[in-house]
Amino acid sequence: MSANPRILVVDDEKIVCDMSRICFTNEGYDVTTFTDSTQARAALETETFDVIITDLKMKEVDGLELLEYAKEKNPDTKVILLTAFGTLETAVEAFHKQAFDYFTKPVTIRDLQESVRRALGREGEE
Amino acid sequence: MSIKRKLLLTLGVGLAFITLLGLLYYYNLVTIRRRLLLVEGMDDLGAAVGEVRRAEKNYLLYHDSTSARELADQIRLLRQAVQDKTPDLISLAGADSVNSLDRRIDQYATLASRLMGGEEAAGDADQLRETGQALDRSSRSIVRAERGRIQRMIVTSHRTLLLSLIVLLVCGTAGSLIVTRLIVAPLRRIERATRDVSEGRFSPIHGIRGHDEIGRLAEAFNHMVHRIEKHQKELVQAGKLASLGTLTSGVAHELNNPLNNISMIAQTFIQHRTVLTEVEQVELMDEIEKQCERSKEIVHNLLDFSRVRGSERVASDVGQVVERSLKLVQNQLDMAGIVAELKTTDPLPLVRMNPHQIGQVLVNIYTNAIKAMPRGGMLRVESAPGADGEHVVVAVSDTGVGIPPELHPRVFDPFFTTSDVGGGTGLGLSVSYGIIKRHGGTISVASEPGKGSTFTITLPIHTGGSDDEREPQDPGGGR
Repeated sequence: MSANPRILVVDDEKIVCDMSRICFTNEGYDVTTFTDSTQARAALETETFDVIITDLKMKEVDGLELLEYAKEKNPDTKVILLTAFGTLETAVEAFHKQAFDYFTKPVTIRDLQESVRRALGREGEE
Repeated sequence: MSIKRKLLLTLGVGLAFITLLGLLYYYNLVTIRRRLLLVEGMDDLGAAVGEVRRAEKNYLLYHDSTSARELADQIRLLRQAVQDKTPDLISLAGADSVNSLDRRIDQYATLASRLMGGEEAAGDADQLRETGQALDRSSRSIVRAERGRIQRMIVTSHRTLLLSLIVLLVCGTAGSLIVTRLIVAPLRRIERATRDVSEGRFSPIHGIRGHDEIGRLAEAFNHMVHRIEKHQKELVQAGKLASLGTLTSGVAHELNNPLNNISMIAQTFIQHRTVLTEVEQVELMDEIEKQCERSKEIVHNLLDFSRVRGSERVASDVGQVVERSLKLVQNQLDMAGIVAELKTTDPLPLVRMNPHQIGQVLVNIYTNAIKAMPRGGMLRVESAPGADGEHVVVAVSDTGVGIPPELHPRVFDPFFTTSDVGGGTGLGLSVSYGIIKRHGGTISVASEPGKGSTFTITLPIHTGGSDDEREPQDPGGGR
């Protein structure tokens, strides 16, 4: 593989973006983060990502919209949803729209890392 | 003294007065009638005197034995008549006049027997005539005097009757005024107070003292007001707790954000502490501190809302309350995918209110709106001075399912709810209604099924001045 896997993290909580960057960069991923979901969608116009980790409830474009948009642009992109307001309805809707995973906050970074590895088909790697 | 006793006493006194008057008049009438009868009897005496005078005339004309005998007979009849009537005469004219009448008759009889016995002296005939005339005058004057007395009695009766009627009228009027003051006035106050209670103002009645029925009624009323007020407070608290249930779920979710941030920082720190510079480590710890502050604030708002409050009112800006209460439900709005639009005239005229209670009303309306928009929508909150210049109007509109027209009159009823069992207590709007009423305002609903509902609250603008007012303060004590 010529380049590191690309991860896009979108969350209006800046800390989620920052910590994800630190953790995933150290794991050898190429990490891009946005706290503004509109900018994230704009980025999807031109770039492709292997995994997208996105918050569900965001001011402008919400996680489900971003999921649909990303899947439309590149069906191979795996989308992991994060939310502080987890409900069965949004979870079902997310999986209907081909979300790869769905986490409710607070989330452990290990779980996220594990999920990303599974998304990339790298189970068992550490 | 009880009103029953007071009334009985008043009636008794009135009745006694009227009975006394009646008895007086009865006695008067009886007296007048008796005197009239006496006067009629005196007419007989007058007639007897007339007969004597007629016989006297005949005798002086003819000087014969027949006419002499007749005169003697008539004098005897007159004596007889006077003797018969003596008690009546004494009671009518007094013993003196009876004696003088007797003396005159004696004098007349002596003269007559002297004439008839042939011992006639010169001028005796003239003297007899004069004495006869005097006799006539005496009897007439007795009758005349008596008639005059009866006349006077009747006139006096008329006057006293008129006077007592006036006294009765004055006493009656004064009596009814006193009764009005004693009974009706306090009853009116109780009536007003009752109306106040029905409109949600629980003010006890002051100044009705005494141990009569009204005093006891006022006491019972005040007791009732006290109890209702207490129940109302409990109800307000119950309504608040009901809203709190909804708010709590939102707050619980909201707390997940700072918790997640703290957790992620901690995990990152543990995983990568070796690669983090000291500055970065301090920054991360600072960030944890900030997230703790954020959590504290979220919890504080909820606690602040849930706390039992007094009902003291201060002049406050409704706009601030509207905004603060909207923040409380922000999570619910986010979760339900509802966009809130806030429009406020800044600054609004101040309203004298209890900001916590008004906040509770607004939170209640917001949460109802959120329930009405399960698939998201728009919540529009607009506060502005009313067109009448006397009120501030807050209108909360949603784009939810709406309320069927037939349910409009019932939405403010206690325990009315469209939620399924466990979905709502049905207390919220009824409590809200009570709160707004007690603030002298109105709350109404306009709704179209399928399009949404608008709840409109009006609150009277504070005109300032009279009552001792604290400065508009921050009622939340920090947010």
